[in-house]
Amino acid sequence: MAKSKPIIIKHVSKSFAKQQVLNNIDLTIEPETIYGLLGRNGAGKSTLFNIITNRIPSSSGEVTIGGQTVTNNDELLNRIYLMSEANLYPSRMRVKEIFKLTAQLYQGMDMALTQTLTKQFGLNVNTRFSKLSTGSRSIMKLIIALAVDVDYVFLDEPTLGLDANHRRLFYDDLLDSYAKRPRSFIISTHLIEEASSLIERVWVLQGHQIIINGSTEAVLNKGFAVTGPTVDVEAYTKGLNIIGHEALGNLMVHYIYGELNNDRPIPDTVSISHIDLQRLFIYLTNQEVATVEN
Amino acid sequence: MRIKAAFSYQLKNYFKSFGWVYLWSVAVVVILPFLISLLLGRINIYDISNYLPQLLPAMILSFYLFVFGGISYDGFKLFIQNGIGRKTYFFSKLYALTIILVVGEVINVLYGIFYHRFINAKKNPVMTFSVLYGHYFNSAAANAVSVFIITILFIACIMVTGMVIGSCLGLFSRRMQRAIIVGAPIVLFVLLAVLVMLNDQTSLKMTWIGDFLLFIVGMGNQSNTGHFVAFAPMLSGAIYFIVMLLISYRLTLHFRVPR
Repeated sequence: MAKSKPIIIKHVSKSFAKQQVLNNIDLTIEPETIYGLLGRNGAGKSTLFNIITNRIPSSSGEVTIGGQTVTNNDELLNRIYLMSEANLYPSRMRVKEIFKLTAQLYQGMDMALTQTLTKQFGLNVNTRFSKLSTGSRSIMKLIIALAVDVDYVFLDEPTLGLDANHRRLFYDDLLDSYAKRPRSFIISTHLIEEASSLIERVWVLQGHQIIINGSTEAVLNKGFAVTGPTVDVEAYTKGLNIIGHEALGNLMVHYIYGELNNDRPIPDTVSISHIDLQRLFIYLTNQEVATVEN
Repeated sequence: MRIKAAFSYQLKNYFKSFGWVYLWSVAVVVILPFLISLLLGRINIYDISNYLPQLLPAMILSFYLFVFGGISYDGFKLFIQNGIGRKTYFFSKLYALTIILVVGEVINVLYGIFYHRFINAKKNPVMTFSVLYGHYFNSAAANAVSVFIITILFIACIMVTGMVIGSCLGLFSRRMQRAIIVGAPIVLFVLLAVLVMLNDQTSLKMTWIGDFLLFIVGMGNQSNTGHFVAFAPMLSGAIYFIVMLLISYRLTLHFRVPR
């Protein structure tokens, strides 16, 4: 199978009435890569997904694949699937009919995988869509997302309403599916800790713009926790990009994003460690202290 | 464009719902009165021609195409979820409804022949518009074809009217839609009342509006019923159809989800 072309998002902005949601977003979504789109509530993650999948128009800018715009372009839209909270399937349609319809309107669907996943998750395919619980709706959409034949799968809060067991099952199935048929997954989630092991590249959306765009490894390598007595920590981190801090009595933790000053000797009383993606995200998106250097 | 897959899905669904609408209509218009007559012991005076209107299939078809032509946004939602854009959605719907229109009209004609032969021969002709245009040409075949075309165009105009209303409503939120659905008939009623009042004061027949209305239905000065100009409704119908179709298309291109 020929490798698909990347999705190019060029200068995309979006405003609703006078409220700006996205400002001049430039991104490239490479084939066969798992992305994580992180952002706080209302940051514009769903809006960005909706623009990429042509559900809503952008105020300016464009989304293209291979030089062609995705707007009303079936050939391109048919290579993209968006799983979101929005329930766009007919409420009276049964799950099995929705699977059949998806296979018909998309260029194909792995029906064997659909059956396997349906059994694994215990989803009753004879149930009407309107009768499904929030979790079951998510499961149904996730099964479609994993089984449908597309090059780009956008997952907007994929684990909404799923219990811990089902979430684990989903992450395993996603990796399994990715290994068998590599394609791009773009995951927007608040459960960063759970999803961090899947994500190859990270985007952080904050203040209407992408403030972080890099490989997960590179981003994590720039995140540090400097712990020790307050005076020593403050002396060591002076001039560094402090994105957050915590104090406990005389002890202080400074969270740094960026390079450390290698010329500056590390005091014996101070320890330095890397921080996880979730903590890094929390401090990066805390607007009071965070400044970002990509 | 994935028009084939979209069209085949739409057509299958439309045929299914069209069948259901037929079944329900026959049940309500024919079977229910029959059962009531049976229960009341008046079956001996039950006459099917009293209950079976000749225009029943035409009314069902017009009603169906107006309503299903108007259901736009739900179809769009489903299609965009399945990677199919607005243009393909619009055209697949138009093609599928056009097939329903032609099939429905053929049923109307066959029913009309059946009705004329076996149920009530004295009443209307096989095709209703024959009353107005059935003698315009000298050839009976030409008259039959022209009346068939006029009937199809008439129902097609009803269909595109539904499509425009539906695609217009599709741009608004549910709350706004409810307000429009309640408010629009009131506004139209007031407009109609004003027109009637105006008609009392200065007869519309004397104005350009009256002349225009007579022109678009083909009622020339010398025309008698049955001899109206058949080309006039064909032309006006075609223009109305194209204009409404363009409006509906442009509105459909503005659909978005969430609204």
